[in-house]
Formats: sequence, C-alpha cells, structure tokens
Amino acid sequence: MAFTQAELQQKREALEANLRQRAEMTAPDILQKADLFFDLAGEDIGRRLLLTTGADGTDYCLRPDFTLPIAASYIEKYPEFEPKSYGYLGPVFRQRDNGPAEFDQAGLEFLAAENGDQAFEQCLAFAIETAALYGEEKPRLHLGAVDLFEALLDQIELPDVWRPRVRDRFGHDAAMGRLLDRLFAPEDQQDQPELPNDFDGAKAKILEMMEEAGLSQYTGRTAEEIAERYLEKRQLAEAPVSATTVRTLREFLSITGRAHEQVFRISALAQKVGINLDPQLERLSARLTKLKADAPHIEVEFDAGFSPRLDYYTGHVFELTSHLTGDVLVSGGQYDRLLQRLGAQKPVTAIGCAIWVDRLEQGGAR
Amino acid sequence: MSSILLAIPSKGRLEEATREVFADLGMPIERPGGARSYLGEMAAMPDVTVRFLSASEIARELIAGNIDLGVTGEDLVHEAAERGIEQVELAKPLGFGGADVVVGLPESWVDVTAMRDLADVASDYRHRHGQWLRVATKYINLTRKHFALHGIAEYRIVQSMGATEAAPASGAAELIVDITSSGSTLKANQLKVPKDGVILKSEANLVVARNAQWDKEKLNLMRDFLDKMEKGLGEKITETL
Repeated sequence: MAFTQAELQQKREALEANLRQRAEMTAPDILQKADLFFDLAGEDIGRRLLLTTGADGTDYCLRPDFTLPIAASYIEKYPEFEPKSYGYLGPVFRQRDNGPAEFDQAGLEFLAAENGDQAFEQCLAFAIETAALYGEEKPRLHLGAVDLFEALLDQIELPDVWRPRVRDRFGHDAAMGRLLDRLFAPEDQQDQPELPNDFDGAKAKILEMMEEAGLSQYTGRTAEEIAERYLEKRQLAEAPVSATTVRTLREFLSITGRAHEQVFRISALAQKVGINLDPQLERLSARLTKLKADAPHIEVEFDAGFSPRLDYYTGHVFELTSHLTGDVLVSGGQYDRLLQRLGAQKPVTAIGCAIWVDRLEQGGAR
Repeated sequence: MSSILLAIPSKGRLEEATREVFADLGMPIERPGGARSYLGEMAAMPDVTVRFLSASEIARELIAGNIDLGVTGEDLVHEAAERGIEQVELAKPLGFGGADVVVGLPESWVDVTAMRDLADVASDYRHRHGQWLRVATKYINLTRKHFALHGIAEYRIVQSMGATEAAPASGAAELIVDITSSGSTLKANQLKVPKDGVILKSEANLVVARNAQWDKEKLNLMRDFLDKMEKGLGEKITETL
C-alpha cells in the first residue's frame, strides 16, 4: 500500500523534527564544482554526475550527495576543527540505471566528533527510527569494519608494495578476487620484454625508451617506478606470496553471518595466523553489545568484506536494508580520512549516514 | 504518404564507401546538388529520403529517433550517449570503416602487458604521486565501461578532441584510449596496446533507430528496404522495433 499525500507530509515533518533534534540543519548549494567529486572519488563517481559547464569553462555538477559539500564547507569555516553536527534533507542528483536522476536524501554528519562511538550510535538510532516511521519495523543491519581489515592487512605477511593495492580493492569482490589469484599464481612473464635483471640496468633501458618516445622524466610514471614494478613482477613469478597469506585473506573476506558468531571466527583466525586484532575486535564487540541493548529487535549481520569502495572510510560501516524488499534504506559509517583528503593535515573523526528517503516513501508500493 | 529517412556520412572515405555499398546493391544514391548539398535521392526506392550528415551527428540523431536509419560507426553510437547502444539496432555491418578502440600505453611501461597490470599501476600511482592516473580520450563512455570491467577506479579522464596519441608526450595524460585502424599512429608515438586492451572492434553499420516513430506503413517500407539489402533482414529487424 502506498502512503497518502497527507501521510507523506506528516512523515516528512516528523523526519525533519528528528533531524533538528540531533543536529544543525544545513543546505549546501545544489550546483557544485565537479572537481570536488572527481578529485575525491575519481571516474567511478564521475559517470554518475549530472554535469554542466559555466560560461567561463568551469565544470559544475548537481550535488550527487551531501557529505562532500558539507565536509568541504566545514573545512573552510572551521580550520580548527571544532566539533559540529549537521543534518540535511533535500534532493540529490545521480545518473542511475533505475529510477529518476533526482531523488531526496536525508542524513547526519558528525564532524570532529568528540565521542565517535556516541556519534555512530546516534546515526544508527536515527536510521532505525526513520525506517520505523515509514513502516519498516524490522530492517536488517549489515555491518562491516574497515579498521579490522586494515589491521589485518598491516600485519599479514605480504610484500609492502601489495598492501595499498589490496586495500584499494577492498569493497570490490571481483577485483579483489582477481588480485588474490594473481598473488598466488602469478602470470607468466613471456610477454614482458626482456630487460636487464638489475635495477640500474632496467632503469637505464626504460629511460632510453622514454627518451625515444619524447616522454618527460619529470611527469607521469618515472623510470624508477617502472623498473621497480618490472623487477617486482619477476620476483613474484619466482617467489609467489605464501599460500597461507592468500588463504587467510580469502578466509577473512568470506566471513559473514550473525554478528556475534563472526567475532569469534575472526578472533580464531587471527590467533591461528598469529596476528593481533584485539583492539578492533573489542571495538566491534562493544558496538554489538550496545546494539543489542538499544535495538534488540534488529537482526545484525557482520560481513568482514563489506565496505564502500572509497579509501577515506576508516571504521565501522553499515547499511540498513528492508526486510521486505532487500533494498538499502540507509547507509553510513566512519570516514576519518575524508577531511584529510580535503586538505586537513591529519585524520579527523567523521561519522555520518544517508537515508534513501525516496525508497522509504514508496513504502510497500516499491 | 509515408517515407523513411536515411542519413549517410556527408564526406570523405565514409561517404564514398557508403555510396558504393548501396550502388552495388542496385540502389545507388545520387547527390544532385553536389558535395555542398545535404539532400540525396535513391531512385530505386523513392520512399526513402536521403540526408547527408556527419557520422557523429548521425549517431546522435539515431539515438534521439529524429532519423529512422543511418550509416555510422558503432564507436560513435557508444560515445553519443552512455546507453545509446540500447536505443538503436545494429542492422548490418557494412564491411568498411573498420577501426578498434584501444587502450594505448607508452612502450616504456615494460611492466604493463595486460589490464590487470594497469589496475596495480593506477593504484600505485595515486599513492606515490597523490594524483589520479590520467587517461586522455574522446571515448569517455567506452573507457569508463572497460576500466570498470577490470575493476580499475583510480583514474581520471582528460577529454581530448584531437591528436590524442600525443597526450603522453605532451604531459596531458599518462595513457590514452583512442581509435586505430592499422596501429601505425600508435607505433609512431611509441604506444602499445595491452593484450586485453581492445575495447571495441568497430566498423560502419547500418543502424536503425528504436526511438523513431514506427507506424505500420513505415514498418512496411523499412522491411522492403532492408530486404533489398539482404534477404530476410527486414523481418528480423522490424520484429525488434
């Protein structure tokens, strides 16, 4: 059953009142400079933008989300990083395969929060209340922990050059799968040109090729980095990454299910391979315990491989999904590297969530 | 009385080859006003109105449904709109205008032989240089699709409208996606194609617009026209409209 106009109006008012209670309302410009989004998220978000060009050649886009513009204007206004809580409700614009390109979102942003755990709980409570407001009484909570994966990746036996590459594939199952395949069974080297097997020799040859092609030594990929990776590929072919490492990563990423049980599985895995994930596991356990007390009716699933594919996420991440349709109703998490990417000199605690108001408003009519 | 509107390339090798194809099929296209006129005639089928347009404009107009059918490259249909290829029906490849849309890298990138290498390089580049790896191209949609297919997210596209092959040497981008028919331009610029770097094998196609107005009379005309080009083609294509 679809909601009536009067019901929708009433729910909107309740939603806005809830936001106002928790945070200061803000409304960034609908027209934003496109570079802000391209610089932060690359071409992956680029294809979703609705773009337009100003008379002076500046590329603009219609805001595809609230988080980035809010964070960007915060950094300008508060260079000292005072704690601020923002709420928003309004249209965002994205090219989508299904549904109109304009749709409403609501959400919260806690920037430089003094108590990150509390801010996270606020987001969860707000998400669950809003879902209930629209008749989603028993949504499922899908939880991930970026800090857990990063801690594992830091400690596991792996050549250092691979750590950031593995990190960059986190949240993209297919790409991660292919990368792990290659670590374990490197491709043959036949199609790689034959170069001297020492760094200086290889580098000299590469420099020669660059010069011949008229490539600058000072922009783009340098001869050093090409030579390094060339030799690294050879080394990998001779001595692949240990089977244990690849198996551990695979096993970790496949851990998913009822949350409390997964904590034990991860703890057992860490013990088996001799790495310490205790601080991250304690944080996760505390979150689960609190959730159980605050929202005992919500089924929580922990998924060790779950993360948005954006490298500024740092802590717990979540999605609230409809138990009726499986649609994502709310997504959120902790992204302490976001303000850093926008120019801050160090990580700044940042936690927020975004609600897909359009999906909630369609209710059972979806 | 109904008629169907056929657009063909207005100049150069594409125009010649298109007119040859139709002449060989016994449906020659006349251009009574010469090269400066943009209207043509097909005596064998007076119900077909012929218009001369640029190949990329033909792709755009087909997607919009402003013309009924046209001759253009598959690559141009992809580039005119992200989901443009779904708005048209590729009725018949014409055997000319063949060219591949490919990824082109400096030959000095000796460590990169496949797209999976490029995934590592894109990731490394961002961490090392604090910048995105830049890809110069005019094939924005095809590039995004191909890179996404290979799980590559850490790059940015630099729009290039001409002389794309010079972008790595001029410092405008680190690599390119461009069209090549013989590979000689790439070679002359010391660029190479990784082994899974061929994004699209394109050629000139007879393309039918799904979004055009298809009433019964026009469908009949279209069926006759296509059957003249190839027996059975009329039924096959009009069924999908």
